[in-house]
Amino acid sequence: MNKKILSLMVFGFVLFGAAFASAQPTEETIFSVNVLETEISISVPDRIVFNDIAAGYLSEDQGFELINSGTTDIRVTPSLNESYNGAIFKNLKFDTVKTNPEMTRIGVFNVEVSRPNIPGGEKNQQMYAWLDLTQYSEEINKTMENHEATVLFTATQQ
Amino acid sequence: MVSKNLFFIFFIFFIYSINAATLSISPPQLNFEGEVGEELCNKIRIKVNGTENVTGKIKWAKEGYSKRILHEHNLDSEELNLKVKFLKKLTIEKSEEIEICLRGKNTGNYHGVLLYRIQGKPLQIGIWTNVSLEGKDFIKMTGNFINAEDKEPNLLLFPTILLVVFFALLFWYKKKIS
Repeated sequence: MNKKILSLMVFGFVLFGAAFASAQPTEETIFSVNVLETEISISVPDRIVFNDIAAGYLSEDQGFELINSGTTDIRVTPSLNESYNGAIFKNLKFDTVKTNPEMTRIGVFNVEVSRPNIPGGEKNQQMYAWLDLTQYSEEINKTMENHEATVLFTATQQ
Repeated sequence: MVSKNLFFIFFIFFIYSINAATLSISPPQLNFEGEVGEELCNKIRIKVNGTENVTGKIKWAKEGYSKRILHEHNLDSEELNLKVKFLKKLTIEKSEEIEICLRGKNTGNYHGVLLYRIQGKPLQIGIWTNVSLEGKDFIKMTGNFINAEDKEPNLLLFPTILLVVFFALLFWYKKKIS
């Protein structure tokens, strides 16, 4: 018999034996899983820029996303940073819809973002912000270029 | 010209995509249950992208209030006779475990929110904090003679002083009569 065929046969038998052995019933089956910790995790954009605005006007909507990448339902509450002492951004309003929005003022508004559908995934909540100066009664005597305020998005478990 | 515009669009997209702050904390709630004067501790884990400076503070609702409404939590620990020890400023590289220890002077149920934020970033995470303290309010009972925070109460001190004063007065009265 050819030496090559013989070695192939031996190899075939070994393979068959290994497959047979692995198919033998075992006494126990081990189930394994990674269980992730309950965690709050959130991402928000660093900067949202409005178009030019003046007293008496409503800005265009600025869309952005809040991302819940944790493992629990959260409530997100935007608030103005304590260091802001201006009046303009106190008229910041939010809603989750663009058309026919209710536009709730900062300080009162909060939004619930459910946890991701799969652990380790992300749940995106579309948000819209407006700067509503329609009721702004003070005269603005000088143009305020790049007027800024830090809005803090605080996430807590629902 | 077209390629320049394309490059500009990609550049803007790239800038937008990296300008998002992320913060993670677990667990989302802490429970402290124990006796008045006892030090109770818990741990939390904070995760950030890269290396970030993180600041923390804790705020409380009125005693007995337990609803998870953020703006109702505006009291400082001192106002409720609670002493809370935790790192208020720290630099975190990716992930760090932090210990929070608490000691209270009065019995009751307290509801707080432990807030951590990345310095200069627009996001903050609040961890609901439930505190239940049992035992005797010995601060209220004995005034300044006992400091529950630092040492074991010496309940014999005040009666002993009263007894000494009583005998001194008795001695003075007898001397006066004779």
